Amino acid sequence: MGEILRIERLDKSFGRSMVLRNLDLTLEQGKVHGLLGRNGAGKTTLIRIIMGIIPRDEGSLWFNGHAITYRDTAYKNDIGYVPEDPFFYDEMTIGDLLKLNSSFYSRWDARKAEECLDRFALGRKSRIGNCSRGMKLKLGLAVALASNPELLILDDPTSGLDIPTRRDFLRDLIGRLAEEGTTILFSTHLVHELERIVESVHILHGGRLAFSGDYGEAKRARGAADLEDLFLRVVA
Amino acid sequence: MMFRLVIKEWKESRFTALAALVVGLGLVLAWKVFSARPGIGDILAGTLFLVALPLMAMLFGARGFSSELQAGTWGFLSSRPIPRGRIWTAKYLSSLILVLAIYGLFASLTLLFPQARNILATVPFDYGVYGGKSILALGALFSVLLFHVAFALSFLTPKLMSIIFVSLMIPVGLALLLFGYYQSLQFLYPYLVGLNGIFIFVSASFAAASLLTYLKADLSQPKKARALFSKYAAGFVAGSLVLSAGLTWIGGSFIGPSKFVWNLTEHASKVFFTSNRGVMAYDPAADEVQALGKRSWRVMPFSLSLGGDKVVLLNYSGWRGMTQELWVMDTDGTRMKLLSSAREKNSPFFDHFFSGCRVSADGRKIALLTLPKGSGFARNYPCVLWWMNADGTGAKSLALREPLNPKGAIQIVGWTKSNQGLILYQFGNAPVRSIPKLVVFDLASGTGRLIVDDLPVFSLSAVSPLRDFFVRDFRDDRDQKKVISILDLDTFVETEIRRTEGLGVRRIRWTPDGEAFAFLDWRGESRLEKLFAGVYSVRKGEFLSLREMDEAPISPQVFPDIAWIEGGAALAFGPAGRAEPSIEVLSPELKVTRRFPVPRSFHADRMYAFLGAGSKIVVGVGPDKDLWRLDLATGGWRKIF
Repeated sequence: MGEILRIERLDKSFGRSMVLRNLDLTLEQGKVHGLLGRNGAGKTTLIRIIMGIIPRDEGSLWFNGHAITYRDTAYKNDIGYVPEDPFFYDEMTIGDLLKLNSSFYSRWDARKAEECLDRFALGRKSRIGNCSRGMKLKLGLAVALASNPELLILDDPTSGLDIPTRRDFLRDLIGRLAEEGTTILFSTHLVHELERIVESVHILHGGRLAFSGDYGEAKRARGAADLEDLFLRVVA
Repeated sequence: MMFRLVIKEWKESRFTALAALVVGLGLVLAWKVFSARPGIGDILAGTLFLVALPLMAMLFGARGFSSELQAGTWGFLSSRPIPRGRIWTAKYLSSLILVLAIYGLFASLTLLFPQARNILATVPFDYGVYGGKSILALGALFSVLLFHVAFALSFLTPKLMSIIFVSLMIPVGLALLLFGYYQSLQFLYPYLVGLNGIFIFVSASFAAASLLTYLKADLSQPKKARALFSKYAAGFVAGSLVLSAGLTWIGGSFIGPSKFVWNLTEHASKVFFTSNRGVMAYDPAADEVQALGKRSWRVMPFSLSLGGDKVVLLNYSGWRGMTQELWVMDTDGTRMKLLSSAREKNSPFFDHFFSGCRVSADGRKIALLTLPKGSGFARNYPCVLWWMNADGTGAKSLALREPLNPKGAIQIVGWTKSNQGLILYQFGNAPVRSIPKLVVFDLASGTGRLIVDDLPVFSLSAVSPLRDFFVRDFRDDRDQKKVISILDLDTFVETEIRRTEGLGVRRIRWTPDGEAFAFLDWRGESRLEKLFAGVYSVRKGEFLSLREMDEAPISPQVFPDIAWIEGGAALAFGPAGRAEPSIEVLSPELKVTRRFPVPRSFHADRMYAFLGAGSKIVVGVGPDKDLWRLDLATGGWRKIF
């Protein structure tokens, strides 16, 4: 399996605070990758750099073998992104937002978008400003999935979801996507959620990647009982 | 993709657009209701185009990215596969189109209201940097500038009030900077450079700085983004100043003016004037403008005087024009002679500041005022009066003190006919004002004779060419009637020639021999409601003609002029006629004998000079200070300067 995303020697600071330092990360295609770290470890910052929302200070980024700069945007066609805090236009309706996004993505699947809306019980004419956080997360997921991405980046997506949806999301949806060959990067600090689905684990600590590798092998090598235990052993 | 982004922006701006339309229409309605009241209509029209619409433009600009920053949705757009430049362009164009559309809508309303068109088109607005622009054009420039500044600032902070505040401060600061720049640059004669186009260049600078910053900056770190933007903006704005000044200096096209015209005077059938190219004379016989003297001369207003076959002038040389030189030459530009310079250590004028010079009507005597440097503008500073022969010999001086020099405000009107005295105009200066007077100063005795007390408005044209008569009007307190009188400057006898309810004399124009004068008068303060013209023969002691003019002026704000032509045998009058602006030739009885339409490109509403020269008429028009001549024989117009 090839790599879909590779990052080398990434640095990022905010003011005098160095958030990410000399970070290397590789994501293999078709796997479910878990990105773990404490609060403030830099997970969201890393994802924002990958998504080109903020620039990096130093380092290189490749997507599908192509070097990516801050100004490049074409590669985002192949990435679906669900942010931690959904940032949508409150004045728009759900239907308007989907229409807007459909003009951005070359592989936009309107049928899939509709299926997601039905699945998540979202109304087309609902005003986004009137939606709850959980509904906005679902909308974000619908938007991400409808773009038929090769890489799906989820930044702590389940924190606002109700339990049935969370279960459905984690077991069913993610699992199905993984079977279809979609690479998934799942960032969360709720480690236990990834237990059943994660294949590779990347743990951020102190601005660096403290661990990166296959979950099963790492569990055996470190004698960890589960992902939470592995995480605690790495960051201890 | 762009289209959807633009539609999205327009949808989000709809309430702002609606508010702008409501406010604008409210002002239009108020103007319609109150336009009959003098002054109110102008204020409302000005408020709409110079205040309300530019503020609206600023709000549209401020909305640009600030709403995204406030809502956090900037990250949404940034995470989509849309080039950042395209996002910026969509926001920029969508807002700018709205601004221009709303401005254009209200500007086009002036087509529906002819009165509004007159107000907006004919009120020149000279604010120093530009030669003058109509309110419509100025309002558009303000709107464009405020929009660009606000738009550029909109992605540096989500706080709308901060954006509005800084957006207003930047143009104010820029205006102060430009004013200082203009004040200093005008002394780098002969290259008087305006900065026309600066609004557009600065607007483009902010746009460019905004785009570059958006492409490169990390919006999650506002301080860094602001620093980057400041760097770009400072560089581009500085470049704008240089570019604008440079292009204006080269003499560029749409970004004039690069010339000025002062001291326009008709003398010996020629028209003399000073400009950025020195002293010039239009010879109607040759139908060409000739340069006289040195091209580097810089002659300020009231520093050129003609008499006989002599031209006397003050050249403001040196840094900031602070050193003056007194020159004399013949009217054909030959026999130039430097009479004295404030720079020469052995000159009696050393370290004096020259103020005004006058040559006698026969060209044989010169008088001027000077002020010793360092005396400042304190009260009662001595002003020195000098007089000499036209070749600079026989120079004498007298320090003028009270009551002849009240607080240092005095002007030489001219020499008396006998060349034995000077006619001086005293006027009050701040901080203390005295009652303006006309005084005849006898050079032999060194004493002054008060000939007119309380003369608040004075024009040099009120004095006849040979300095033997002075015309004025005043209101008699006894019966509140307007009196026109002629004062004989030799005998000091004042003769009343007319007493009416309201007819006075403005635009007094004497025949070359001083035998008669023509004048105009009008009613209405801010609007020209009725226009009167008259011709009075001093020799006969009677009015040759006096009547209300038939032709309406081309605009209530444009005051026509009148000039003697063909050696005093006829008069030229204009511009007149709203439907087809034209210049009319009148007999001394004020009967129209010929009519010449003005060219389309002629800024008849910006006329600043109107002189007769033989069988030609010279008209100064336009914000670029053009000079045109009309050939009365052929009816042909030509731009001569």
